[in-house]
Amino acid sequence: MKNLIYISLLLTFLVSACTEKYDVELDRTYVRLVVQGSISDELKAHQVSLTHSADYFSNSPAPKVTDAVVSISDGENTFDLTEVSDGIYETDTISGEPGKTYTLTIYSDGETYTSSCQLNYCAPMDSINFGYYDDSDYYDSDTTMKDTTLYILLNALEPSTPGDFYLWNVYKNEILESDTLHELYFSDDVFINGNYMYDIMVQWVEDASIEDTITLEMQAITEEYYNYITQVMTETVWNMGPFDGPPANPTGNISNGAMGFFLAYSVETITAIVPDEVDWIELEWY
Amino acid sequence: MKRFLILCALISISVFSFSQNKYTISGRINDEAGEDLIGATIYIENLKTGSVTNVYGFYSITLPKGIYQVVYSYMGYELQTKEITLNKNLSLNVILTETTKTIEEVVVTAERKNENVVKTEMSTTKLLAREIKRIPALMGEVDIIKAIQLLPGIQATGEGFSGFNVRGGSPDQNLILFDEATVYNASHLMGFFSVFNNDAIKDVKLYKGDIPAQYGGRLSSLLDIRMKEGNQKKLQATGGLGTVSSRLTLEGPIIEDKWSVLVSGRRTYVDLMLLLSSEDAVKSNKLYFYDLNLKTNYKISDKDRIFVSGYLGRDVFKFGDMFGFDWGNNTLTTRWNHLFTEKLFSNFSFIYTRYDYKMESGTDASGFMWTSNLEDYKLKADFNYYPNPDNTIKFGLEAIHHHFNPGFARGTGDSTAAYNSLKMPESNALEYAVYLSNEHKLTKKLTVNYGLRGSLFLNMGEATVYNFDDSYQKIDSTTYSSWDIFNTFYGLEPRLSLNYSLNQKSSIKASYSRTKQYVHLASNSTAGSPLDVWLPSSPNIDPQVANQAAIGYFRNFFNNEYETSVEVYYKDMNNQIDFKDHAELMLNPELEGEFRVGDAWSYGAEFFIRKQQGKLTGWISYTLSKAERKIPEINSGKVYSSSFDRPHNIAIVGSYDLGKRWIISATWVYATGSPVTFPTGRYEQGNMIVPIYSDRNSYRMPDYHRMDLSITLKGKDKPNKRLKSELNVSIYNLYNRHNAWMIYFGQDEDDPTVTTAETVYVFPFIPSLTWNFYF
Repeated sequence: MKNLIYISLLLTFLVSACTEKYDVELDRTYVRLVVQGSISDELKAHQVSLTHSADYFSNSPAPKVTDAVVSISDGENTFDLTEVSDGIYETDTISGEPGKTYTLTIYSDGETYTSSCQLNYCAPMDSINFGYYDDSDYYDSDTTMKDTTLYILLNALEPSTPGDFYLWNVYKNEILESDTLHELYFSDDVFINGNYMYDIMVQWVEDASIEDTITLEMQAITEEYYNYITQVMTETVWNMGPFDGPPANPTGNISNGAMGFFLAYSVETITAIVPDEVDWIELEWY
Repeated sequence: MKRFLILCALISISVFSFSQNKYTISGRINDEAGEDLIGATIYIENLKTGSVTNVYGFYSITLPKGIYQVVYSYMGYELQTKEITLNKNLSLNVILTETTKTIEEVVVTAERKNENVVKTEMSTTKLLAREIKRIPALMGEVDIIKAIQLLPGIQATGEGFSGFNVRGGSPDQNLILFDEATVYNASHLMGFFSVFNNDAIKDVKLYKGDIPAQYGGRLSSLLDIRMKEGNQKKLQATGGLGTVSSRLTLEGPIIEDKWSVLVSGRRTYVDLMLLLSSEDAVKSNKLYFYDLNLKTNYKISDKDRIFVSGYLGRDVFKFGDMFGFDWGNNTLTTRWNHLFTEKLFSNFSFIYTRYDYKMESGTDASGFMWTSNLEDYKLKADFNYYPNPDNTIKFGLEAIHHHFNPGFARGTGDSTAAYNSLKMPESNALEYAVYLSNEHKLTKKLTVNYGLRGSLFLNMGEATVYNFDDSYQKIDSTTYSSWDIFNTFYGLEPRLSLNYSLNQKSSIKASYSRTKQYVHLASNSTAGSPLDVWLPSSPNIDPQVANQAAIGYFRNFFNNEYETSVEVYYKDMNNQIDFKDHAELMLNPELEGEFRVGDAWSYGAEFFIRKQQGKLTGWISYTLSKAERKIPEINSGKVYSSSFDRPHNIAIVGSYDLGKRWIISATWVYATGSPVTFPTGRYEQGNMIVPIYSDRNSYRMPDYHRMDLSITLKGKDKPNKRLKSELNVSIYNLYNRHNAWMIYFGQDEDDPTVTTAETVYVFPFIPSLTWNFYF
């Protein structure tokens, strides 16, 4: 819903906007620890990556943070993580349990950082369909070719408990397509709580062909993480300049001034083969 | 209360010190079309005293029996001198003729009075509709608010926007009255045009600090816009065809000199281009705004007069059947002027105002609708009492019933709806005010205008109020039933201004005012949006308060041809509203929990030179100012520059009559870049680069400057031709400066590890053509 508002606001902004490179000197800032880690109910090695922040125009990959001591605890057991490559720390093959709260502890450069996150239960999905938009509605062209971007439409019952938050990833032939944060779909349940979701658009795949194997992954995330990724998006690709509020750093969940997020989540997946074009659903423009 | 008694005592002393054998001259001053002239002067040569007409064109002056030379004058009009033998009360209506028709006879205006120097009010500027018309306009759309942004102490909220900041105040602290009705959102098309159609407007006056006691409810300014009454003598049409819109105004008498009507409309037609498309989906899109102004006034007798005026405006966006978004203001003002005696003028008003928006998508089960509205019902009584030439007393009271319905979103598929509903709590409030003020000539040189306004604000059920803990987390909610008063705020707002005339050419003025604001706009963007909602003060939000003091020196040169002034001001504002980082201001039932409150202050100096007569007219304004805020939970509690702090601000406005048919006008504006927050650091998250920001507003945008030009060619003036027309070419941003509208920091498309900064500019060189007619 919110995207719809943004799109409409931008559409109203009819005047032609042009851009120009801008040379600006920015102050330097101190280095912060950046955490990106998660634990899920899947049975696998769960990863925590540690990097450092840099000056804005540093223009090189984020420096890795090595030799940290990292562990995750569920209150009863503590799982130590091993550094498998520079700045990447992994657990043994374990799985998290819905309902438990996981605490991440990091010792690095003489400082201690902690974070905790509850692992929420994820409702099952029933099925997925594939949808497309007919571009010829909007462009003067004789081509009847359908756009090769396919949209994943979800059918599932949203549980009647209010305050659920979701995130969707998509895999094409077992390769993660939504590998960048701005390619994620995420939603709260404010308007859909307790409803059956019929063909709700939750992801898309570019250049999909018939017979491709598509896997949709639905994660039940926490409200804090939902807010965090919304804020990251607001400060990056959703930036609308004067139509936005003042910029501010996204609020992560790591203590001691570190940036980033430690997430616990549960996962449901559903796999389907891209059918013949006749079975694709034409989507309406809105 | 004590202050109120002192005020009453002061006024009674001044009123009751009259002697016998005094008579009153009263009446109205009109132009040839019967329009009331606001602020026209009545000057008694022999006594060196005078009076001015009020907002309804009424004047009254009481003098001892005698013979007087009475001079009636108004800026841009020929003055009239009448010899009056005063031995009884006289009712005298005067008609003044515009001087533009005899522009060669410069002599006529040579004796103009030095009104700006002698009147007590300061920090005000008055613009005439025809003066505004000469200013080059964006896309040829003549716009009052864009003209106001060129005055000292005022600046635009952003390039092209019709929002404005007055002396470091936020845009929601401006009280915009259109025929006395509050306009809650004065902008069209995302803020690029204002809702006021210049053809329907008679008079615009802006008060930057010295707001009269009669008005209140906003902290920073009063923009008082008065609609034309309609020609009392003959049918008249005014209109224009422009690049983005067309206008038509019809006015005329139904009964000559008794009953007149004015209808004015404007509509943009960008979307008509879409009809040229061969695609049905494109054709079915709509994108336009319109304004409709209506006014009628009926003179029942010399003592009674009725006015009804209305405004209806809407922006409409429609993408096929699938998505629609529209918003707009409606206002209705009904007024009754009544003269109790020659000395006591009164006006009673009933005013209705509404702002609402609606967003809709889809038509079937997945349909969705979001609505929001705000309504005011206002009753008001104002009295002007003219006991003697040394005192003009104004008093009155007003009552407003506010109703807020800030947001309601729901699926539209009835029982099959795919979406649940979300409703922000509705609420009601009552706002009352009483005021009393006197403009008192203490000595020949010293005039004081003192007044007091008492305001009372009551939150009233039916309402649901959320209760928050110290960390702004919702604890629970309290529901109040209909008409249940559950919270009260009140305050006294003293207003004081004085004028000390040094001589005929110069004076020193000083003023102090306190203002309170009980309704607040929940908006944290500089541009604002039509989706922003207003909220009342409540148990969670205290009223905003401002104290402002100003002192100024006014001097005219060359026989009053050049008016100059210097004013310095200091404004202290408490309970100023800001919002937590990443505040969710849309469709948030717990919106009050997003508010963060603190202090703000601003100070500055304003320099102004203006020339209103001769072939070359215009003004130069320069403002040097500072505006800062300190809010405990924002920017770690450190002081930061307000987003509208622009230390240097220059505007040069000039218009030159080149022969009888050509007018060339130009404006140049310069302002220090507005404060912005830039990233200083970055980190990686989900294969994206996320910025780490500096302190709030610790950088500045590049400086802003721009020149606009307009050339008007008037049609040949033939004696028997009724249709008069003119062609106007406006050029916005003459030297095509790429003024930064925003600065975008992001990742390079080719190399994502590289971060870059880009300026986005939106208004390059824009020419436009307008044809205006009049018959």
